Parts: sequence; C-alpha cells; structure tokens
Amino acid sequence: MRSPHAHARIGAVRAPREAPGLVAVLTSDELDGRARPLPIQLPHRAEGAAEPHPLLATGEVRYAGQPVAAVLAETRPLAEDAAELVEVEYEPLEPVVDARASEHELMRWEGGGGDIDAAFAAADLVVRGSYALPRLVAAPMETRGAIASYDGERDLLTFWCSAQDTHRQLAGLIHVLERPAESIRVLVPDVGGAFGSKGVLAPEGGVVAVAAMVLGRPVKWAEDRLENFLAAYQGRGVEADVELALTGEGRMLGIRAHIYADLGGYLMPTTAIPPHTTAMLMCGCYDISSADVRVSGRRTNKVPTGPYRGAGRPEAAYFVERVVDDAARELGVDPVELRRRNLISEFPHRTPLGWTYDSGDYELCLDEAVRLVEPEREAGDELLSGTGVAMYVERSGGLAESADVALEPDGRILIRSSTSPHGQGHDTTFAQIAAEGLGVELDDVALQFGDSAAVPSGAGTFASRSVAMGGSAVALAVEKLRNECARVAARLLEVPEEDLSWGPAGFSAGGRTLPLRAIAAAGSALKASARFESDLVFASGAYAAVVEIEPATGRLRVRRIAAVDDAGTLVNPLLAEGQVIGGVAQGLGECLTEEATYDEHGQPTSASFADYSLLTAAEMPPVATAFVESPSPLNPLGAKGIGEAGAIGTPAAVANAVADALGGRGVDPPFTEEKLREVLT
Amino acid sequence: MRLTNEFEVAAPVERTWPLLLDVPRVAGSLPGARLEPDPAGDSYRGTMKLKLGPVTTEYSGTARLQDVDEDERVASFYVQGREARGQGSAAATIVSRVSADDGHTRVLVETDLEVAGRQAQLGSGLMQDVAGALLAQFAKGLERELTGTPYEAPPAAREALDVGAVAAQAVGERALLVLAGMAAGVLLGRLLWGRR
Repeated sequence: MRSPHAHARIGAVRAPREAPGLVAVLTSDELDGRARPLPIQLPHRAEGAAEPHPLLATGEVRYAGQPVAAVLAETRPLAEDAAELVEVEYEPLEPVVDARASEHELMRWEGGGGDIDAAFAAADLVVRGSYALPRLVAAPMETRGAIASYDGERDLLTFWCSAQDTHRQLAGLIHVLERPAESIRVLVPDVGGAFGSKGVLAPEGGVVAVAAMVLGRPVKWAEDRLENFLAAYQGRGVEADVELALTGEGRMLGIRAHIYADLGGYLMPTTAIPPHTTAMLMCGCYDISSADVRVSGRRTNKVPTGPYRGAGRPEAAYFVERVVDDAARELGVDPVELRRRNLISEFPHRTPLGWTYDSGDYELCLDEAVRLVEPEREAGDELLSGTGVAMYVERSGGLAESADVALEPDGRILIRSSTSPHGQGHDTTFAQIAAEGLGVELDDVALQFGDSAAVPSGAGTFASRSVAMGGSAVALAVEKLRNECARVAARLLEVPEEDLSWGPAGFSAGGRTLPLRAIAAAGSALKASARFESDLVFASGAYAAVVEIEPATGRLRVRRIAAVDDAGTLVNPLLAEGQVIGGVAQGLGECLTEEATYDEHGQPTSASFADYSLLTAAEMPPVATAFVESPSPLNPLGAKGIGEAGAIGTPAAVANAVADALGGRGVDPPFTEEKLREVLT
Repeated sequence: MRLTNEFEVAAPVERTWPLLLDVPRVAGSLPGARLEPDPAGDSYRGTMKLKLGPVTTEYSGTARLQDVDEDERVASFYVQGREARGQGSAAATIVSRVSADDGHTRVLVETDLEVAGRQAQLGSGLMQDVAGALLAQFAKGLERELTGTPYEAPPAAREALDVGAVAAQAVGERALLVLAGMAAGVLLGRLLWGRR
C-alpha cells in the first residue's frame, strides 16, 4: 500500500476484516517496538537532519509511492485485491517540488581550502554558470525484492534479497531490528542489475523481515515496475551555481560552488553520499589552488535520492567541465588548450578540498580522446554540428575487503570474496587474479559470493571498488596460500624452501615439479585469508563527443563518442571495455531521453517505460575506447575503478558538444527536441 | 495539469448555455457518469467509470457549480472524486466559456486537473488526448440532448466510458500504441500472477 499523494497527513487506516487469501495488514502501529527506521550514513563533516526513512509511514507521507501499509496474502494478486479494500484517510498537504525553493535542509556540507578570496581578487576573469542534471531512475532489469524466513527455535532470520552485496543489507537489518549479527543470515543470489539502487536495505525489505518474524511464516515481496519507478531511490537531481576564477592567460586560480541537491522526503542510508562526492571532486583534474564549496541537500516531496551509477561523480564532471568550456569561450581559447594549461601532472596531488589523487596521466587521456573523436564543427542552415570534450576524476576504492582462499582436496582453488557481483564479472576477474597468482587454469578456480554466513566481512560492491579492494584481497590471500603451498612442496620434495622455483606448472626443484594438484592430493588442507584496506584511489579519463542538431526540428544526433579511461592496471581489458560501453549508454540516456518528472503536485508523471524511455541499442552511436594505465601505488594490483566511468564522462562531453554546436548556448540534459528548438528560436 | 479543449455544438448559444448549467443533465451527456443531487446542499454526488484497456477505474465523488457569469457566459465547475477501490483520487476545476458562432455554439473548456495515484503515474502522457476524446463524446451528447433525441449510449458504454474506444476515434496512433502496450502488460501480468 503506497501513498497516492506527494504530501499528506495520514488519519485512520482501516483494514478489511477479511478478504480472499488475506493473511495480515501491517501498519506502522504493528511495527512499533519491533523495528526502527532505516539508519543514516553521513559523510565526513556533513550535518544531517534526524529524518530517517520509516519502514511504514507514521502520521505523514512525504512522497507518492511511500509505503503506508503492508498487505500480506497467499498470492500477490490476492494481496493487490485486498489492498484495494484498505481505506486510508489522507489529508493532503502542500507539496514542495523544487529543491531550490525548499526551505527545509536535510543535509549540509561546507568545505574548501587555499585562499579563495585572494584567488578571486587576483582574477582577470570570473566565469559564472548554473548547471543542472535531472533526476534519473536506475531501472535495473530485475526490480527489487526480498524473502524472509524466521526460525523461532534457533532465533535465526534468513533474508534472501536482490542486492549489491550482503554486508549492507545485514547492517541495515541489524540496525532496524536491533538484533545481533549472528542471528541474521543474508543471501544475495544472482542479481539482475542494480546500478547503485540496491546498495542498502530498502524500507520494504525491513517490513518483509518484521512480517516474517511476526507471522512466523516466510514472507516474499517482489515489486512491480510501477513500484520500482515510484519507490526505489533515484539518482542525480542536482544543480549548482559555479564560479571559476582565472588569469588572463587561462590559469585557473579558484573555484566556488553552491550545490543544491533534491534529496526527496527523507535521508535514506546513503542519500547524503553522492552530493558530498560531487563537492569533493569540484576541482576536477585541474591544478586549482583554492576552492570553496557548499552543499544544500534539500527536502522535497519526492522519493529520496541515492547512489546511481556515478553517484556524485557525473555531477562534478558536469559542473566543472561545463564551466571550463564557458571560460574557454570567454577567453577565446580552444577548450582543449585551456584544459591542457591547467591539468594536474604531479602525483600524489592533494586538492584544496582534501582528497589526494594517487596517480594519472591526464594529458595523455585528453590527447587520445581528441585524436579518437576527430573533432568537427559546422554551422549550416540545415545542420549544426559541434565537438565537446570533458575530463573526469573518479574516486574509487577505499575502506576494506577480504578474501578467503582454500586449496580444495581435488586441487581446485575456492575463493570466498566479500564483494559480490551483480553484472561486473567478478567470477572472471577474480579467477584471473587467483589463476595468475597460483599458476593454475581459470577453470581450476571456483568462487563463492553472497552468503553472509560463508563470506568474510567487507564493505560491499559499490563505487567501482571491487577489483581494487576485493581483487587486492584475493591477490594477497592467494600469495599467502602460495607461500603455504611452497612450505608443503618443500617438505614433499625434500628440499629447502629457498631452492624451490615457482612457475606455471607448479613448484620445481632439482628437475622435479610438483603441481598444486599434487600438494592437495598429499592431503594438506591449505587455506589463507587476507583483508585489504587502503585510501581512496582516483581513476580518471577524457571523453569527447561529436553531435549534430537539426535546427528545423531540434533533433539531436550523437555522431560518435571517444572514451579514454585510466583505471590503473587492468585485470581484464574486455570486461573493462564492456563496463565503459554500458556506462556510456546510461550516460547517453541521461543526455537524450531520461528524466524522472513530477507535476506541480509532486505526482510522478514518468512512472512507466512509455514515459521514461531508456536508450536501446539502435540509438547507440559508435564508441571508440582506449585505456591509459597509470598503476595505483595504493594496492598490489595497481588497479582503480572502471564501473562508472562511461556514465561520468559522457553527459559532460555531450553537453559541451551541444553547447559548441549551438554557438555557445548551454542547455542542461536531457536534450529533447523541445528544449533545443526553444534555444534555437 | 492544465488542459485546454474546444468543441462546437450545432445549436444556438441561447439553448446551449442553460443546458450547460443543468448539472445532472450535463452529466447524462457523458457516458459512464451518474449524478444525483446531494440532499445536503448545492452539490451533486455521483460516480464516473473509466475503462482504460482492461482496467476499469470507478471514481465516486461530488460535482458543484462553482461560479456563473451570466453576462460573459462563463461557468466554472468543481469536481472531485476518489477511486472506489484503490487509493487514487482526482479533482478538477473546469471553466467553460460559451460564445455564439454563426448559429452554433463554441465552448472553450479550460481544465485544471489534479490526479493522484496510478492514473496519474501511468497515464499522464495520455491525459491531454483522453480529455479531448472525452469532450468530443460529451459534445455529441449535448447536441443530442438539445435536438431532443436524448443520448442513448449502448449498454456497455452506459456502464463505463471506454477511454480506449473513445481515444481510438479521436487521438490516433500514439495513444493507441501506448494503450495497446498497457493492455498487453496488464494482461500478461494477470496471466503470470493470476493463477487463482
């Protein structure tokens, strides 16, 4: 049962006494004393309101689609029918739809460094711009869902869930139910996509868990597409006023920004994270000595926002790269040249906002992107075309991940990893890391993920961190295992350990070779564990796009895109490229067609794929990819993140290309025909 | 959501205008709608059934003549209703301006519509088209009413206004495609879930 209103007070909730197949109707009254609202995670130095998302609405609803009551029945259709009989008294309240107009702040952050006033006082030119990215829907192919089952005798709650990992679902349940970790087992099976939207426990997931405990029987919830549109947290919905101070020669001196984030009705666990990431990346890849950034995370009567592929990074790239292009136009300098004059070239580099970039070769990325895209510009009566470039720096990695590695009796390697896949290809990359480290075949490596009772602890799969963190943990565990194996090999071959040589075939000494298989057969159950922790690593890249616009209709066509990414050392270039192409497609969708819209009453008006159109393969332009590999000094693999790159670089590059084609007139995505026509007339 | 529609009735304005102010008779011109006076006062209670593909939504609520300007021939109605089953609701302020046009009557209808729930979330792209189709049907009903051949809707239509069928006559391919898609989706949903 979800609220039809964007903002209303809730009066009585009257459940039917009986209905076919009806088992129970739960409201916030039944949850009282049994479950707490979802937790809130606040980024470093952020202030947040104590307005967590309740599992079921208590007294008030703050967005259309907010869960009000849970109707449990023998089947979903019966539950839907019974839900129609539940009467809820709503007293509609005035909704707030525009974040800038909202007077209610849910989250606030301020940061900076360097002498910003001196920078602006010394500037020959200050360029100002306001830029915005729309609210977006993650739209995973598989919607959200969970099954909970409670074993009263063992006091064990088992929770199956479509999620990005087990850790954050478990943490959410521990908080919500106030139960010890040992009394909850979370299982995340194969997942049909998430893109950030299944990172933390959903309110509905919490309800499912409570319901299973209250009813003493298994409870299943699988949302339909409409519910996913209405109630799964959305992404972006961020705008900013940006000021860039430069010298007459185009040297960037300082950047100021006020970021307004449309956070929706409540702080979900990770709602505050993306705007903070945006703020921290507002120096982009430029050597700017001072920065002053403020974030106002406003409450609106919409579903809360949260991480969506890029999660703050596309916003930063968009704001910074748009203002840099505006500056180039005002200075009369080629935008590529203006970038080149300001790129960071020495590492590690600490930005005035406080993050330290570990490595990179920004100029090489830029040069390669420009070369690959083959810039064009024409201003004909029937066709306008233009080229845009955009650079990005992406924070990835950080926190910790673990891996357990074991040599099984049959000679196979079993890896239990704390980060689990939902489309990234962990099975391949992690097997590669292990196979390379142990000199075995890929097929000799088996992986296990997604069972909190079996995998070691970690942070989870998000922020393009799996290879850098989880992969490094696997690499370290494998190295330990190899040393263990060497000890056994030395014993079996009756040679000192230092006489052993290690090769693809196994351990050799004195002309004899002992493969791992033989060590396993010797009956030695060998295992090793490793936990890897590091600071953030910073991937980077340059994107370029050529677009054409038909002035008569406003129709935009993206002719081609060049994507050059530096994710450090690549473990699997094929998977890395796949990630880039997928990200480009989502970034392009954001540019061309995607926008979660609301009417003036806060009603979602794009809650189906008829109104919210995703790109199809037919709309994809040619994408030229290339990789630069600047190894990260912070992990044994030299790896960084690649999962979000395409979604970060693409919107900014396409927006700059559109502005270029329009003779400098900037427009915010999505670049609909209507919008472009308006600019052209 | 603001909608503007215009229609013409083949009758002089002197006859059309009073009819437009007769709420129950007006409602009779709209298939799917039933109204009766509210004993409590100056408003009317009634129901309106809309059929969008296989999904029928019944709204029950009130209608009230809000403001009448006899000189300018402008009338405003306020209509509000809730889904009889389910959580959706709808409210509209409808302002009709009537003018004479060569023995005929032109009616300009400006609607400020507020729909909450499923119909708003799934049908917003269709709303303009559907409103146009509804008014076309309504205009026909008015004409019949005025020419003394009261509108006799076919039994099915008396039951509920089939927006799909109406829209098919008036709005063309885009809406039809979307409707067909929605219908297919709902049917598929029923098939997959509906083993009961």
